[in-house]
Amino acid sequence: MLFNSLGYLFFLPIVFLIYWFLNNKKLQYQNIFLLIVSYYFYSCWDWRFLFLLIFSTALDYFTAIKMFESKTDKMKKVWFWLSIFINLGFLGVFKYYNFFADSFTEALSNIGLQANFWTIQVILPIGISFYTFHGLSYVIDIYKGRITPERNVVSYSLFVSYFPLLVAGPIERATHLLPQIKKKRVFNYAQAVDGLRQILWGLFKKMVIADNCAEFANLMFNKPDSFNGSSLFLGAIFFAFQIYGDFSGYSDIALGTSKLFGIDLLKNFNYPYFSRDIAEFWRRWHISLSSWFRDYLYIPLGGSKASMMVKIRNTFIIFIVSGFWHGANWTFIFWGLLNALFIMPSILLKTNRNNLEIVAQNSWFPTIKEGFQMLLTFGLTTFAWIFFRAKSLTEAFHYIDRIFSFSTLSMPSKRPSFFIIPLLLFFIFIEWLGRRNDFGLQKLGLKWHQSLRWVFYILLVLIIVLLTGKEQEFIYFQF
Amino acid sequence: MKKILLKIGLFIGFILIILTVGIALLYNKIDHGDYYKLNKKYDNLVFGHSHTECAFNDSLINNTLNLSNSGENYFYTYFKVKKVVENNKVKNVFISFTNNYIEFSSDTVEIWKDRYLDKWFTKYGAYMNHEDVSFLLKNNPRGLLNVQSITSKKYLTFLLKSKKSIIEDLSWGAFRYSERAKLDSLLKTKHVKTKITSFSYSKDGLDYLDKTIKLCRENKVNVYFVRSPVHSSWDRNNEPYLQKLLRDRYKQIPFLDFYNFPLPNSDYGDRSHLNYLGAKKFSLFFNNLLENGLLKKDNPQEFINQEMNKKAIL
Repeated sequence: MLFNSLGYLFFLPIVFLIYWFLNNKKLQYQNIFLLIVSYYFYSCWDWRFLFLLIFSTALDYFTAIKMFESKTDKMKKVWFWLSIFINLGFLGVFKYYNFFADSFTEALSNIGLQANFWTIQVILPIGISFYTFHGLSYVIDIYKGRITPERNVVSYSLFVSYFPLLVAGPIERATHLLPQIKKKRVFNYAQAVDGLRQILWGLFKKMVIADNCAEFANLMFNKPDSFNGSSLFLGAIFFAFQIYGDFSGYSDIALGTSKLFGIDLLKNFNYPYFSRDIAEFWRRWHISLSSWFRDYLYIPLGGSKASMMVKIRNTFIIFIVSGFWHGANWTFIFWGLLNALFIMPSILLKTNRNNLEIVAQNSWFPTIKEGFQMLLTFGLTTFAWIFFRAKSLTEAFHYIDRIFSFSTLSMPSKRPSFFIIPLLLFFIFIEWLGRRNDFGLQKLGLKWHQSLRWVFYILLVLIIVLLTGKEQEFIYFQF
Repeated sequence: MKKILLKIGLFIGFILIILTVGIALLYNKIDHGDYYKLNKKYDNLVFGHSHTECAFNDSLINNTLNLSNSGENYFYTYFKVKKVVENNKVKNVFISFTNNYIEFSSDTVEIWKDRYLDKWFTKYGAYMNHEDVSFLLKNNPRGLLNVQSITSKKYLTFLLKSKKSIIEDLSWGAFRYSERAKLDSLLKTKHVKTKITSFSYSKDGLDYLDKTIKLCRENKVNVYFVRSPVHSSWDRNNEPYLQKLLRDRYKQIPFLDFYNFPLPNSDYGDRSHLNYLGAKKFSLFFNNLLENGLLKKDNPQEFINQEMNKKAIL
């Protein structure tokens, strides 16, 4: 069930009404209901993988308790590594096995050895990377003594399987989500309205911006030889907007949905395309994943407190691992590597924490210098997205090769639909206006007369309905 | 809680009213606009699916325009014929009549499944009346709701771009120049012709074919069924049913059958479609027939057979 489908349009109000009808009863009823609904939501994708989700939940639930109750450090370690091994084992088998088998076969054939590794034909269980990381952070936090294990099986299961975040995040932390799950929710009008507004903006980002940009970007990336360099250049920019609209739109719908149930999820995007350097971009893009890698990989490896060489090594490690997390393909690894290279100047010059606040925090417009920095950062990330989008490294280099040709100096041989540019400008304008808030639309129009505000929202809905692009699945569902 | 439910209800109510009125106005504007004039005067129009689409190279046939579109069911062809015939002076309409479009399966598969709604409703949705929409709504309500936004977007784009001809802009059909030449390789693969155990005629597709014929008659346009050349290996096991249909239901409609048109394998794209080489030969032949008064003959098929025999001997 996609967030932008008719099915969800019926599912959400029904769940919302029943959920608040149970509000006057016990907290446990609220949680049991949300858990059943979450499992139903997941089984709409593929009910067979529901067993995997339940197994993964049960594994972390029990190993966490066993680990906590272990009398000796040795036993504690045994339970810890058992959980890590099985969790990563599932991820490895479902997501990475074929990649390693193929890569080894190819590597051996390059040195003249013949090998034929057995490959498996299996669909990647949706959301596996997300709920595995949920479980891992929980187990690691208990192992490190930061939290105590959750004894209530319903609360823990809901923490892992809560439907707004189940298939594509944000990757939650037990310290943030579990306390909310364990507290009885009371209906909050302001929070619910804020959630509805966030869902509306998320739908606009996904259905209008991402799906319309996708039509042009797909055309360029699928047949790069049929178009000139300037068209391909436009295609890369459109993909940059597609992936932002797609993933941040998804996150907005997830966060907005959750607010309707009285639960706040972690913010996942914070206007990344207004970043002035790559370090700032990564503090604003897919924040829940970046902070996960920071807390559970970068810092344990020594983080930024070690020597410069260790810091550089750690930076490369987390970017490459982060790339690999996205998918079993060399393109993602290269994309991670490229981002590590892009961030290096600010690491070496120790300027990576220069831009902590949003650009033009106290003014309407950025300075010329900031504008130039934003353009440069956007250019670098767009360049890296080419590797993310291409099916292989060869394809990516071929695409770039065609962009850096004389044909880029001519007019595009294929132009996008005429209404996309005004829509993109409108989108950037609203995002810019709302850059100090949680999402672009959050505070916009709150001081207007109610009727004017309604006209604006109705117009937004009409744009979503009438100018939506061809329905595309959320990109991050494949991860 | 009551406050938010009331506001949501009110908001959704507003949206539904605006959308319904807006879409109705948009469809009405498209339906009644002056967008259906052909770029020049044609005496003959060809309608149908991929068989005629690949066979009739209209640049080689005088006063003829091919408006076939692959996969188009009679249900949708009706709306196209309606708009074109009512807005242009046309003498003759040739409609593809082949074995694969008379079976019941073509109704379910090619009328209301999502991908067909996406392809066809977005072209002809504005011309459907209450009865047509109810028929689609009954069979695929979800798909029909989904397709409204794509259709509106297409129509809005058309209107905003101020284009003149919806027939060209929304790709209502044309001759397809196919370079495929797969027949020889297909013939090497094992092809088992299926045996018919039970047969059901198309219901809705043929009903709309009837409506198309009636519409043409009302506009004083002659209707001809045409079967373009297909290779002998193509599955025609329902041929007796097709002939029965022609005898019983369509005895008033001349059937121009080019099934036996002599062509080498290299002129076929596959078993049932001509490539550009075959289309060239067939279209020149068809043009010649028209020039020699095919449509004035008492028994056009006899004339066709004679001419095909002559061609085969040559």
